[in-house]
Amino acid sequence: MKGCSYRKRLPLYLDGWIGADEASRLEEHLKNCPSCQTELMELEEISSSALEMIDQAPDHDYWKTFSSRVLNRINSRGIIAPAAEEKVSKKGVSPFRYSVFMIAGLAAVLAIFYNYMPDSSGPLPSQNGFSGEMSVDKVETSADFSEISDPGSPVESGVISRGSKAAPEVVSTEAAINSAELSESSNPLSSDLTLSESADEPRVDFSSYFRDDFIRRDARLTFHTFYDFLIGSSSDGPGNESRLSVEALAAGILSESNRSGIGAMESYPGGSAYSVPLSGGGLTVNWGYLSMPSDTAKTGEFQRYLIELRLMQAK
Amino acid sequence: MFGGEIEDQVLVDRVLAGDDRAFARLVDKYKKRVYYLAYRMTRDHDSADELAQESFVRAYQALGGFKRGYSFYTWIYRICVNLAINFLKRETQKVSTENVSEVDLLRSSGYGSDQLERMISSEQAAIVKRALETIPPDQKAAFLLKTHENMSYEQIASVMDCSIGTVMSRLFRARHKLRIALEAAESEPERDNRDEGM
Repeated sequence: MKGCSYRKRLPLYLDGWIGADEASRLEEHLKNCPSCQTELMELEEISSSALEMIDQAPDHDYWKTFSSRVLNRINSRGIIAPAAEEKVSKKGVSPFRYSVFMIAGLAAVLAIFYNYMPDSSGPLPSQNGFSGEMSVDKVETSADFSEISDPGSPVESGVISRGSKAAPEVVSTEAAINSAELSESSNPLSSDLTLSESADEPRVDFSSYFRDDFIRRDARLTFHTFYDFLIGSSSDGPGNESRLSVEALAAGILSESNRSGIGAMESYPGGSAYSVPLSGGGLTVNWGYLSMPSDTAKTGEFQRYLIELRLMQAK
Repeated sequence: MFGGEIEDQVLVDRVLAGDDRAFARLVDKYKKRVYYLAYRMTRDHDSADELAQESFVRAYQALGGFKRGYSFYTWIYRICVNLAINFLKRETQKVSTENVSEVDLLRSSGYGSDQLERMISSEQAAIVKRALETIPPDQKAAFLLKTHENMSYEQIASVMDCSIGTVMSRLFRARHKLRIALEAAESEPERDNRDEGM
């Protein structure tokens, strides 16, 4: 009936706003109230009909050029580059420079994704070691951190800069984890990355997202971004895309970090990964990229995975 | 903050440090969602394109004041929703619908291009689509954010910079009008039959 006291609560119930207790009472009421049943059905019908509206999907070229058109628009208007009002002043901070890592293609359901590798000029953007697009669901470690010796350099003072670039050596992830071949002394890329100091670059502290034992006593574990990602190449609808979630995780605990190899692409549940082991300071850090398809076209949510982060003491 | 928001904050930091490529990454990350939000508001590609691009330009301009800890996703949505609402208000002024009832408007056969109409998957979806054109932009935005983005009331309130009560009210009104439209469409065949019999 129209005057049913539950009637006005039905939209809130549908939207998940009301609590579990009230929801239970309402569901009980629904069993015996045809009017509310009809009302709820109609509300659901409105939402489902709205979802059935088909969106016109622009073609692939539209998406490919979208960001460049935005930047062109910004440039054409002479808009001044933004600077943080309080924390970070652009003045005195060198622009980040980082470069293309590599492009790795994923077949079938995975869209193409891009990885970036440092080129032979300019410093890497990272201050405190590597970091990446963060989606920390799980952190795996293969080392007892209590056994890790202090490399002697506070994390927060380090910045990775590049030396000369050598041809990449392909090493499997397992090899990166389990073998001492990745130590800097044995790897042709051992001089590829070195740490230097910079106190000016902004930093983000991700320490709270890791287990306590991941955080050293004398230096908070911090990360800085060094990643790229791609929202998939398909243009067949909103959210219906593959997404590369780059998980470039590396601990800033490396005082002298060296990229010691490039892991081959591997399959992970729901996607594929590309891993890169780093070693230095008595440690090997395995980090990498993880890609996965998005199957949540309706909700717009992205699944997030953490690629394994494993630390080990190099021989 | 969740992982994605941390990523965004880091990107924002980098843009503020002078790295425009980091901004390009933010654009790449959200371009589709922003575009489709604008598209659903306007049902027109050109308008959606304009609104989506402009959303990012405005975001870039205002990035210096971006609050740490705030969600970039929510922020860019807010910009887009505001632009879209203003756009629709201007459009409404251009094409006055005064004294035209919602039902009359729904009956107008020339609404939307043939191309778009062909893309409509169901009759009811077509009715809802047309009815959405007739409801105030702020109600429309609340409804689309709820149904298509599956946002919570809190998120919608944050995007639309209003109270949760206002969100509830807008959703209620939007649904009420959409229901009227659906009911009117359902009763129309009966009336047509009666008319034919006269």
